[in-house]
Amino acid sequence: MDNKIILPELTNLISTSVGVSKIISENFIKELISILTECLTAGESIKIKGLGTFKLIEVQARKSVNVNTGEEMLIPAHNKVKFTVDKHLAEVINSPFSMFVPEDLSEGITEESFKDVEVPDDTPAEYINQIQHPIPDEPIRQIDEISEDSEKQKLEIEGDEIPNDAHVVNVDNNPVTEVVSQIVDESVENIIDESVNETEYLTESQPEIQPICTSAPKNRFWKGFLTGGASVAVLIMIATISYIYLNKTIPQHENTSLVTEDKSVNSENTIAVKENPIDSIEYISETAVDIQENSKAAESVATLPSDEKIVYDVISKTRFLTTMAKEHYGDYNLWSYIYEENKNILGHPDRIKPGTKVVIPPASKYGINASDKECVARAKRKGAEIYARYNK
Amino acid sequence: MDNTKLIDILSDRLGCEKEDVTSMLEAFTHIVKDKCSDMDNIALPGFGSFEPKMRKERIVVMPSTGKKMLVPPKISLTFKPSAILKQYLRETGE
Repeated sequence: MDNKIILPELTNLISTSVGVSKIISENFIKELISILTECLTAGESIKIKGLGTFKLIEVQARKSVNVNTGEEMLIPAHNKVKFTVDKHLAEVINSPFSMFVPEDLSEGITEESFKDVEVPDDTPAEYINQIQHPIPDEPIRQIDEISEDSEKQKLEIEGDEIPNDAHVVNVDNNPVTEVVSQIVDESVENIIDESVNETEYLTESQPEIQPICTSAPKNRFWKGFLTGGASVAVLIMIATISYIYLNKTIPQHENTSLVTEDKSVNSENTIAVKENPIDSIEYISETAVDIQENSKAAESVATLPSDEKIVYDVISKTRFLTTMAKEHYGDYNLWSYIYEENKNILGHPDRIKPGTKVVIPPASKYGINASDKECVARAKRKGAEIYARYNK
Repeated sequence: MDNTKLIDILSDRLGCEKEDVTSMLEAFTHIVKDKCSDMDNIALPGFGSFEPKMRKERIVVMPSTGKKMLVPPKISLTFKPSAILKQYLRETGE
């Protein structure tokens, strides 16, 4: 494949196939070349049986330019040698494409439609190799099965008993060879069909020949359909990825909602208690009386003076600053205090990466009081300020 | 020059039997067939090389009907004469 066979190799091949010595075969080739050359220079054409004909064609004198000097020169009239392949040899060499015939084209299809499919000259060998030695497992099994079945049928008709693992020897070749050729044709066609479909997903590094079978219009329709489907799928993937990225969610194994037994500073408790298994934390307020520990608590507890412990919470796809504010303080708007507390690690309030650990300041720190309307109003203003900073 | 004459001249020059020459010539043809089917080039020094070439499919217009037709891709065997041969031909042309 894409090799160049030189004289020594040719000599070996001839001497092994004919059974003569290497010297003789080398002389043979050299003599052949010299005879051909002499004959052609004498003006006579030569025909070699099974190979082809070397003919001479007259060429008129023509003006040209000397590439080195740039001056005009005349190429004199001369003969050039033309080689015409023997018909049978041409058929054999073209055997990978032998099933194709020239076809009528419907109107409207021009060279443009073929331009997308690049066919560099170095690919076909692979493709050809594929065609020549394609036989994947299935056809062979089919052949075996069919040959076995037909043989078994024959034997059954004759009344013999056939053990299950009988090894069937293929005596009568004819029906099987027909089947074989049919299956090989089918497998070849399958490969071609696959390659036709594959052209949809061609990248520049994978050019393939695009043979047009007789079912061309149907294949083209399906090709268009598949391209459309593939591009829609890609767009959906891009959309989901960007959605995920924006929400900054890392897919987590367990739920991350907070387990608390809530104790708000105010006696009016408006917070519902959630009890979901999680991997965060302990909650103790400054003035808390009860301490609840989560058995699964894994978060570290910072060392602070005596009964003060830092409360953490983790941002997730379903837990925002507002969620936390609602839980810890009792009002969504009080998120801005949580933001303030963590502003050194937080950027845009809407774009906090899931998994970000934020400190929940104790309510007394900022004088947070859900029932205090002024406090809530202040928090709202604060929130607006924060947004203003980012949404310039 | 046809095949028989070629074999005669070859057997004379080589001093071999005509049958041997015939079988060698056939072997040569066979090698060309095998190797070129695998897209290999065969080079004969001082003469030229046999090169199988891949032809892409193309649209042609049938002059008789005026209809557009699609010619399928194919592999064709070409011969590329060497510079020495071309030189000989130019010289003998003058």
